Amino acid sequence: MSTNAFTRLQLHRLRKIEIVVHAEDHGAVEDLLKTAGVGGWTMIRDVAGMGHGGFHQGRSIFNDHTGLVMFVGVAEAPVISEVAIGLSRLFETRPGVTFLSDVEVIRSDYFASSTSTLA
Amino acid sequence: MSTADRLPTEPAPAALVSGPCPHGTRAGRLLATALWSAFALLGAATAVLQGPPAGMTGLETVIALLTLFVAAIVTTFSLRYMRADRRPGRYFTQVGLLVGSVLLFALAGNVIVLAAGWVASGLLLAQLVGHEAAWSEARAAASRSLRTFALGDAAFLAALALLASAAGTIRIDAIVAAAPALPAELTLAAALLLLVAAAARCALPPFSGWLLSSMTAPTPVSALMHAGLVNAGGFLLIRFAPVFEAAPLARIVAVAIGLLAALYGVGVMSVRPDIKRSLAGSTVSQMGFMIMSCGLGAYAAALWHIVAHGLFKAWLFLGSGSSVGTRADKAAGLGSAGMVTMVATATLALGAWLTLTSAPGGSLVPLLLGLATALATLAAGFGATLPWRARLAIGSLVLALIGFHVAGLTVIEHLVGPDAAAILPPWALLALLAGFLAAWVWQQHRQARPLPAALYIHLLNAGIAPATPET
Amino acid sequence: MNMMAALTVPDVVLTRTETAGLVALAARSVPPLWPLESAIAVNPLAGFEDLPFAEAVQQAAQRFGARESLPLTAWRQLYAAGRIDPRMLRDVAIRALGGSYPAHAVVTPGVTALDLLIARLTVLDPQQAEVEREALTPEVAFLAKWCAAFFDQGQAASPMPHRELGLYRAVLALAGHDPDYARLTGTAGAQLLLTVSRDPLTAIAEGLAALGVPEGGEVGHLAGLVARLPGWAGHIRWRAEHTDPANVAAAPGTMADLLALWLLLERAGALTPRPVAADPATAAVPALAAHFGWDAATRDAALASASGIVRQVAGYSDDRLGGLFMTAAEWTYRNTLVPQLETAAARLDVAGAAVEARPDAQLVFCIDVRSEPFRRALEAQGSYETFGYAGFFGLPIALHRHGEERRKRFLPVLLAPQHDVAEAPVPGQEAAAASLSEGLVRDRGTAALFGAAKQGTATAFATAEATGPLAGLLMAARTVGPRALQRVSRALAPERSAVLAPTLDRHPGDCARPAFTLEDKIGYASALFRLTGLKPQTARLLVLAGHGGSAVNNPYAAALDCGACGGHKGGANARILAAMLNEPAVREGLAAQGLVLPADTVVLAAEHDTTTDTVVLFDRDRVPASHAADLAALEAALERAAAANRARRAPLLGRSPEDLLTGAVHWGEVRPEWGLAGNAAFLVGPRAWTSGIDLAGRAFLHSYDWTADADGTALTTILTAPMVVAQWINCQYLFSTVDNHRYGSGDKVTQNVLGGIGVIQGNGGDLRIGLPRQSLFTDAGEAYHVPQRLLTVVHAPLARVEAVITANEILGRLFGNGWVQLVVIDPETGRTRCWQPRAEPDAEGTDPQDLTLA
Repeated sequence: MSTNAFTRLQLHRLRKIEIVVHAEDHGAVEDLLKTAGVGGWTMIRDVAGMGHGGFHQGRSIFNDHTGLVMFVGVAEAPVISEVAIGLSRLFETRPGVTFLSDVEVIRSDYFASSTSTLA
Repeated sequence: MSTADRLPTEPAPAALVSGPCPHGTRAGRLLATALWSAFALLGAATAVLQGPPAGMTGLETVIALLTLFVAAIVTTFSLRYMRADRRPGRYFTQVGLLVGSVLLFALAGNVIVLAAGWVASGLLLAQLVGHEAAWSEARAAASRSLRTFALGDAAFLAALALLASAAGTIRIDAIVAAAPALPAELTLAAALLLLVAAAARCALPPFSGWLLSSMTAPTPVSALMHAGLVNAGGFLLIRFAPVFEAAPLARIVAVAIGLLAALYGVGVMSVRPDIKRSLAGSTVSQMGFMIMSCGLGAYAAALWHIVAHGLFKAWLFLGSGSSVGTRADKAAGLGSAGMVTMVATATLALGAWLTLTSAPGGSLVPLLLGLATALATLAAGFGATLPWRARLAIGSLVLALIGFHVAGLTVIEHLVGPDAAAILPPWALLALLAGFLAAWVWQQHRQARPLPAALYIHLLNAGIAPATPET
Repeated sequence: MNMMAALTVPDVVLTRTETAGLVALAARSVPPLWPLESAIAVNPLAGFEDLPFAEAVQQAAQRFGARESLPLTAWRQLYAAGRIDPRMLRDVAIRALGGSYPAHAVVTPGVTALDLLIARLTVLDPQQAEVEREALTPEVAFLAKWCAAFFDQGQAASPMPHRELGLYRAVLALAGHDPDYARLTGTAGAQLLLTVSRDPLTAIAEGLAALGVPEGGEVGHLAGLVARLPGWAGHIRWRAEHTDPANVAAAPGTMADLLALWLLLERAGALTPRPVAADPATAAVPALAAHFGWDAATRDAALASASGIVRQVAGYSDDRLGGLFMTAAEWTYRNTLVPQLETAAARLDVAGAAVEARPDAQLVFCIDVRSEPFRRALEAQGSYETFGYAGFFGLPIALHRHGEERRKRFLPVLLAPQHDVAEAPVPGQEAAAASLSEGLVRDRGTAALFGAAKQGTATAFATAEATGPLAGLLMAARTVGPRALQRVSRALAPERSAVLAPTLDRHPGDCARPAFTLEDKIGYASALFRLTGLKPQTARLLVLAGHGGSAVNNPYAAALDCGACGGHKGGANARILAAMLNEPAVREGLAAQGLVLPADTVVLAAEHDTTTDTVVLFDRDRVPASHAADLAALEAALERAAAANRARRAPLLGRSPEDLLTGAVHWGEVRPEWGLAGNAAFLVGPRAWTSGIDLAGRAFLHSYDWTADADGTALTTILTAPMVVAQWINCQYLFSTVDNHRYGSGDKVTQNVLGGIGVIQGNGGDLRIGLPRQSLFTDAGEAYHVPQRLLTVVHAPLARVEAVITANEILGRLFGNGWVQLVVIDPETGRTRCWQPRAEPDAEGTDPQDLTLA
């Protein structure tokens, strides 16, 4: 892709949230994302890594509820903040980490918030 | 200590059969044997004689056979079902006494025995509703039944006293024979009192509450109750038919509350999410229909209804454990609404033609509703969008059932004799028929659409005791 | 509570998302509740597994209003029946008193502290009255009524209005018409109905603020409300997490809906306060004094003694004493089982080198505790080798059964389905399959017709009359001759499994796509060998046996089926894996992995009926003629084993072996078999290790060969999945026994099936959780299932077990918090180690068997 083409590209600034939780809590995180109005997200199962509690292994082959999962969601800043507030309550008793960052995306309509009908 | 030397396993077999079980089971086995024998004996006698055995009327024979059969089934069923009951001896004894008391009033020749059996059956039934004595809800349900029965029994005793003193005899046959000659006000009062007694037992509104909240009873007790005890009201009306025939107003009242209960019960049944209370709603409706038939004077139809519905309801109650399994919500219609409208119209037209060409009796309504059912189920069965062999099978089943129905009705007619004279003018009979059919057409057109909120809640709450624990 | 404050609309403090987070946390206090058609055992205290066992039981008891232990009288019955070793009870009592020294301290002349405690355990009258069934409170009755109407799946012909709005808004729309609501909430309720937010999350936030629930206390408050209707809350969790969304779309109800309704009632002042358990303090002092013949002076002296031991013993609640009994029961069991396993392990190492002859047949059964006695009976019939493997045979499938609208999940609930499998006619049985399928359509049509006819205002009456005589006949047949009736119905219709089989090569929705790829098949086939230690030198017949129970007219029938198959019979899974293993391409794939099966091995699928002990072999007519003799011998052996096991089981049920066959088809039978009652251990190791021990149907057996699992993958899988399922089952039986009204579903005879989903008791109340009384208690009312925690014994090197536990948080939680007790028998060192839970003091007398503590 030429530099010229790159500058012509219209980029949209959005916020990204990444959440790593125990697989058994994935439902709660999905509830939060939906409630906050995040239109869609990516979920990566069987995340392995090193943390406070030592090495975390992926899930066991006969149990989806063990191991860690990671969510990646992108939306307008207020929506992502809303998710973060909700997560802060969840993290009062459940283990997990979250990262927030600024991102640029090409097709902003992909990340439109789902309408929160009753807010 | 030997325990440490072997693995602690299950308790020794001896420990399992100790305790109160053998005694209770023995009582149960004894009772079951007695009931099956009595049923077989009476059944064989009736079959051989092609009529009631000596000393018994057709009505008495039919009621006794039904009671014995259902009680024998329920007792045998209970030998397994009630195996872990805390007080099996008490349970089987009470069931035995209950059956005894029903037979007592069914076969009674005089009002004293009749009253004794009647009152005892109510008391025993209430005891069995509250069989789980450690459960406050069961006690509350039992006392609710008792209160309702007390009211009905008081009316009953008053009616009997009135009739016996006026006729100057305690023999039921003599009272019944004397009824036409008694003062009209007296027969009317007695008939209305008897109707109150019947309505309390049959759980017709406003007395439905006890039956609709009696699910604290063990399942077999419910089966016995819905198949046997609630029918007592119908028995009473048929037994004292001449009193009612001498008091036309009482018959009209019977028709009216019967109609009301029939429609109300269907509504209750259709909104209940649990199997047993849904069946209870159905019983209220069926009892309403039966009392209405009695009021119309269609005694054979009413008695046949008592028998067939008793078997039908005992079957459903004992089998109520089979209703696990979720289904997608779907319209519970009987064929298309158009077909239903057609059948209803045709039935009504036939009714109109019959009233024009002959003087129809009270059995017009049950007979024509039966005809509408036959037509509708046959049309739905044969006309369903199924492979032809399946349709043929369903259609044949329906035909066979219709055959059963007609045969049963014929036998009963043979046993109980003629109906009473019509109480309602032909146009009123037609109107009654039209009422049932119109409600049906309305129901089918709504299909699975929810009822209006207020009506829905009224039906859903029917019979629920106010949500405060009773002491 | 300030009523007016609760009614005013406050400034909402929490955002919707925050509230959603709190609701998600509160929801964890109840486990999901599966509908009874596919009943799954769950631990009613699953939400408390982060806590040590004793603490969890206590907290849960408070929250659910439950007992913590069996009543003392029930424990004493078990003690008198010899099911608890008196020495173990003594040891437990000594530990409770802080060790040997304080326990033997003299309290009054000739009486030690231990004597006091033993007297309270075994002789003195219980302090807690046996609570009768708790009465339904009006607010629970009210919400349970609406949950029942809302979630009903197919009972009521006329559904609840406004269901499409969701539970909360639908009830709001109807409550104004409901006199129960008015009675319950009065004018406050009427006012709230007008002002409260229509959005459940906002309403919850409003409610929490109006009630003045402090920040940080919200989750506890909400969890307390969730626990007031654990059955419906559990059902809501099942809807949200464990079923296909289309199945529940008609009634969108969430935990937020339920909580918003609870808060509405609470704001209106309609909640009955939870009874606070009275502090037993020293209520038992007079009884102790009377028992030991103390006069007032002696008693006062004893009470005044510096150690305070008399006060301590007198202050023990019955629940606490019951807890000591439970520990004693656990020790009794452990200290008889573990030494036998140690001895067997030592022999195993000696015998290990010997080359075994090829057995006549090998059979793989489910780990279910009911497989063990049957396996033992079969092994006694000849040269048969058996294995234990999770009964879904490692296949994460959803089955689209022919003639059913919805797919069913034939897999452990820990997994999501990966493959959709359809049923197809068995080759050569196409005509029979067509007629079967027509029969299904006909029966559905008949049922629909009957259902519609009995609901119509014009048709209900004649329908009852016309079906009455037939009902009478059937009723008599089902009551008096159910087996004859069964023979007739079998003669009329072909056996379903003989004409239909799950198909591997056709996806139900898309004919071009197979249900499994070749790689999938090879993977599932090789897992059987990797996880069980089954060697590739297989016998001429290799049989995979699923299992299921037989019960009719029994709402809990599915609870007797295979839990690993999602509460269904396991035959389908066995047939699929057997078909895979017979495929030449799969055999080639296995050979490429070093698993070279003998060419003459034929794999067969079977289903063990745990009620009758009969074993059906599927597709037996496709076994080659070369194996006909092997098959005949095996079938004869299976029949002999069945008779032997029935003879063993019958006295435990207090019945004759013949009666077990009748009970399996009798519509009045409330206890066709004991199910998994008695379950106590989970053993991981080779069958040769356990085959010499009569485990009495109390042990889950998972085959495992530590020498074939160098990296511990197989052990990880076994402990994190099958053992977790076994622990759920164990806890379900344990707590259903401890408090059959709160954690169990009570007496079967007064149950009332609701909405096709589950049961209620009598006229109403919460959807019931757990197991019925008849599944746990004998006819005489004694506990047949002794409540005790699962004992896991692993035959593997200690270091490997430790590594697996460290890497898997769930295991640290279960073992560390004492939900499961772990014993490791190390084949390399020959030493036995007992995993020490974090919360239990390592005091003197803990370990009478002298197991080395890890």
